[in-house]
Amino acid sequence: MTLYHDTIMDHYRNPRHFGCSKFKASASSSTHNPSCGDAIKMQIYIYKGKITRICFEGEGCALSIASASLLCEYTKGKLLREVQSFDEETVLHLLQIDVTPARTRCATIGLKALRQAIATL
Amino acid sequence: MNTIRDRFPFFSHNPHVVYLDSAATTLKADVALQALNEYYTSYSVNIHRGMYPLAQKADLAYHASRKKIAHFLNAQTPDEIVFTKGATEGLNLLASSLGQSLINPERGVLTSVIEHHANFVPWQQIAKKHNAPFQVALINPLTMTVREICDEFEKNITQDTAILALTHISNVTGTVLPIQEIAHRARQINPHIIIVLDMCQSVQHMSIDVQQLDIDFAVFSGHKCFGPTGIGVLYGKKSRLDNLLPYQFGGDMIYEVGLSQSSFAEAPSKFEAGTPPIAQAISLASALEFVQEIISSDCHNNLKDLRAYCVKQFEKLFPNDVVVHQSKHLDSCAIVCFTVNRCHPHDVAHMLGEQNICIRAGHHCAQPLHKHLNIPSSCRVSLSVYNTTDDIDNLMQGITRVITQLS
Ligand SMILES: Cc1ncc(COP(=O)(O)O)c(C=O)c1O
Repeated sequence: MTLYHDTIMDHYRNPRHFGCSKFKASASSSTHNPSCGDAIKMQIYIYKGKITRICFEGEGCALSIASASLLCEYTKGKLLREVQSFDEETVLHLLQIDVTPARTRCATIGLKALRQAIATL
Repeated sequence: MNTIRDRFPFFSHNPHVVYLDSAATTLKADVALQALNEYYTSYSVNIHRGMYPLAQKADLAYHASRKKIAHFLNAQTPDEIVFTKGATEGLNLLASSLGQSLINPERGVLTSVIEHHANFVPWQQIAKKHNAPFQVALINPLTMTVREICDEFEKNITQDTAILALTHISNVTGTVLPIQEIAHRARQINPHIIIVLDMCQSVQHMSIDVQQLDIDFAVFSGHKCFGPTGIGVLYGKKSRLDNLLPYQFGGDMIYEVGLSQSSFAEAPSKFEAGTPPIAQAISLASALEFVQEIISSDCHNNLKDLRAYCVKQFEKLFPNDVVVHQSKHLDSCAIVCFTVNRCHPHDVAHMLGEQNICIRAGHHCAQPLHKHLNIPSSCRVSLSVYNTTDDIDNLMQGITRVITQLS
């Protein structure tokens, strides 16, 4: 099975919620993966306990961009409470692949950014 | 026809694998595997102080291995060869022991920006611990000439540079550093300087003469020269090893143990606490005999041609898509470092992997170098004697698919 299946390639080529906003977010973060220099910025907007808007930007491999994009899509509209319980499993489920240890950091860079943003609240 | 590939049982298990990751670890030569197997199946007993014939056989084999390795490196005596579990352990041993006796707030360590983390972080940390200066020569392995590289080292060396730790060949770009020239200039400025050489990427490719290179210490790992994992060599000039403090304590490294005091054995035993990797040490000597064999055959030239072919194919087939990062002025050995425009190295390597082509991507344990060259990460093809032009052609086809898939 290829890691680069259609959904991943689609989200890599056309990442959803890509591009950060100039409006002040409820929380934001910048994170990077020192193993390849990839970096991602993420912003979340919260209204009445719900993530009403989320966006990210940055550079990375297909897996990191696709996973951040899928995660943003999945996160939008959810209660902060729910989002706080997201873990690696959540992301892998969205990606529909098994990720080897060598690629775990790529697959979870979006999750790391999201967690870091939430931690600043 | 018997080819060099037949000497690597790996290929009968993996006939379709295109293995281009030998800088990470080489495949294992038949003679090395036989030596391992022979020890484990027919005389797998402990060495040191065994009075029965099998123990003596193991003891002799272990010491014969040290002798062969000394010969291979042209060391003065077998006592200059210390077995470690790998290059990383050897460098940590040196950093810790030299650090304790030689460095202080006035006297520090100089290394270079191209080093593998194994020859960088131990020095950085030991310097920190002793509040000593830690300097990094900012050499550029792609653009600088021999002279510029020597000048950059020279600029950083003073009477107070206690240790100079540098690599023989960059594990990222394959650039061969002019060690003899650097050592010569370093000793002109400071005759007492201790020179530590990381030979991880050179022992499998060239005949090494530690005396001619004029270095004090050197390290390498067995698994990068067709031998087993879990074994490495620390070479040290006899006088240097004698003055070096032990690194670990325990059995076989002592002379006499009392309730409140102990005295230590002489080098190399002083640095080999506990039961050593016996099988691996014996096997390593066989692996190095194999290296000797290929160095004296024309394999070495073939490898040079193969590397040139790889670079030429990249330039011919992907003039706008692939950038090869190689030295303009110095020799490059067995490694081709490259990036593919608009394709992340992780994706390139992963997609090649899905086609059974093994290369490596990332920072190759050389983050300072990547930052210095302003390349976030790179792809690395590393060649060895078992590679052929077919492997390179397969790689090129693989890259074509990757570019189509990713763009
Ligand atoms: C130049 C260089 N130095 C040191 C090392 C560390 O070797 P080991 O991991 O076998 O200890 C490597 C291995 O990648 C290397 O290429």
